[in-house]
Amino acid sequence: MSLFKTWRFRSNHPTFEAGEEINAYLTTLDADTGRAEARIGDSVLEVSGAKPEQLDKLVMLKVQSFDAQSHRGQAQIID
Amino acid sequence: MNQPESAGQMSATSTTIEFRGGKALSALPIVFFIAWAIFQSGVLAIGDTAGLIAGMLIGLIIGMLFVKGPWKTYADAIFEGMAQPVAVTAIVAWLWAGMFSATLQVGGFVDGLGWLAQVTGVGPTLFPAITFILAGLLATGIGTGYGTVIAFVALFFPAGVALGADPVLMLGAILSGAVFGDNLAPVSDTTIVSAVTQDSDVGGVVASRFKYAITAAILALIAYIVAAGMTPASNIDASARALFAETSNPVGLLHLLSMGTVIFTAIAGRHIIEAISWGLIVAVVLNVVFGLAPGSDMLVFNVPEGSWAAETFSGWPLIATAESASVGGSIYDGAFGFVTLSVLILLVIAGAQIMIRGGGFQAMQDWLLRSVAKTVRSAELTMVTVTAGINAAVTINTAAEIAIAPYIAKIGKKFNINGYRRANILDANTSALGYIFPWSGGVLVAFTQMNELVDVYPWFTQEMVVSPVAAWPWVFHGWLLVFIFLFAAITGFGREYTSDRLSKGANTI
Repeated sequence: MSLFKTWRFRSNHPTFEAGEEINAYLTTLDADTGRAEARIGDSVLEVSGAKPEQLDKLVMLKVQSFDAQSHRGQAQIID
Repeated sequence: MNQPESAGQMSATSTTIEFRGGKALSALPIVFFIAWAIFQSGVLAIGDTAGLIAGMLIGLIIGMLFVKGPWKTYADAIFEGMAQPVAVTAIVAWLWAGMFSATLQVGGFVDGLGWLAQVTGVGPTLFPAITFILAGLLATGIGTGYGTVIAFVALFFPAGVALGADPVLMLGAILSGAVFGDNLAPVSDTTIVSAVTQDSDVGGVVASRFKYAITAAILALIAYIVAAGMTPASNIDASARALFAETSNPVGLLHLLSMGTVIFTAIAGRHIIEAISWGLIVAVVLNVVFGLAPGSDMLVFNVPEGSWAAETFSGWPLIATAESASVGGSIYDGAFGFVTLSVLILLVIAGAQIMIRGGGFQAMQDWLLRSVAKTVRSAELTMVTVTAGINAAVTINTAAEIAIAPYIAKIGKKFNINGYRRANILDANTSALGYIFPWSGGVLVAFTQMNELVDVYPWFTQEMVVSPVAAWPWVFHGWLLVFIFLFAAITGFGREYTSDRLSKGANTI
């Protein structure tokens, strides 16, 4: 890659588009409720379809929706 | 240095020692050592490395008194720490670089530099800045900041001081060059450890950290020129300067070939031991073939006058008679000068291992994640300050880096900061803080080498030796790297998330 490609300022709150596929670590997972999150910077994607062993692991996600105002959205794990 | 297999040795984070008073007490040996170092070298102005050994030994004994249960686990951790490949790696670099630099010294390389400076008209204002550039290039080429410090304090420091450059500024410039190379060199051990521990490839981390390193370097270069213009010329005696000018001789520049051999061989991917060994062989051959130094300047067996050995071997090459029996020469002196420091480093690494096995590092991570790192900005600020803090405490920066790396990975992944960014935060602050404080390995190495100069050059006096405690404000590149990363954490400059780009080495499941 170019030495100058990353000479930029990146937001604390990255935004995502519905349908976008991204890599992210699964940062929270409640084993009882199955509720999981991927925190990317200070934005949060609520993740469905996560398994307990995927906590703190890198997973492939498909963004379903994202609200740029609240910096929150929904995503699904892609197998 | 090219020693990636050392990575991971100290990353085993399991706790095996329990302390009365909690996990924080596991930091006692290291904290005691730092307090001792500040008192000895800072307050009393005693620059005696062997004195620091006493401080570390006493710190290890005091720490043991707070262990719950059998003290054997504590003793085992000391051995475990001293056996770390990372400590031995540093010692090997010092021994080899010491032999090499001393052999270039007796071959008149400094005289050649003096001649070059006079011919080109480089004066005390530009010499520190040029020294910073050349030290940075050498360190980037050979991948060892310690080796660069040894070579440059032996060779460039006396030339700069003789030309009237401020000794403290010269030392700061050399240390800055070492920081630059440690941080950016693909073959630097800290670069490799930062990549391996943050799921990244070496090429990727070097490319992505270029922006931070070059920004700091340009600012540091300007700072050295400005500072050299503002500081008074060194108060070197006029007769000493005249003596240096008299001994200036272009033939010493033949040893650029010796240095070039080390750089070329290292860049070609050979191990640093191999690279410096080839450089040493070239230096010895040049000294002998061109008459730069007799063989006995590089290695000599001194046998007592009138002894059987003197009568039998008198006239043999490398044999000389003296009042008492000894071995001498640049190869002997260059390596032997680092023996005391080598013992100290083994003990400091043992102290760091006590902190790992006592749970001090783990307790710190838990507290940081719970109380401090609540946003991505505060998380990155935490990563910068903790890496800098640990490296300021542990004398050998690679050891500190290996110890803190798992916690940097953990904090960074909680905010999906990608591997390259994590590796860059880890390595920049590791490289910088390893060469600033009086008890850091880089400064101690420089001080050790500087004391040797008094015996080498008739015009170099003890007053020209810079105290370890005087260097810290002048390591501009080191400080600028830390400030740039604080700026980057606050503003998001250069930040990358895993969703932006995955580092090669990070795998999805």
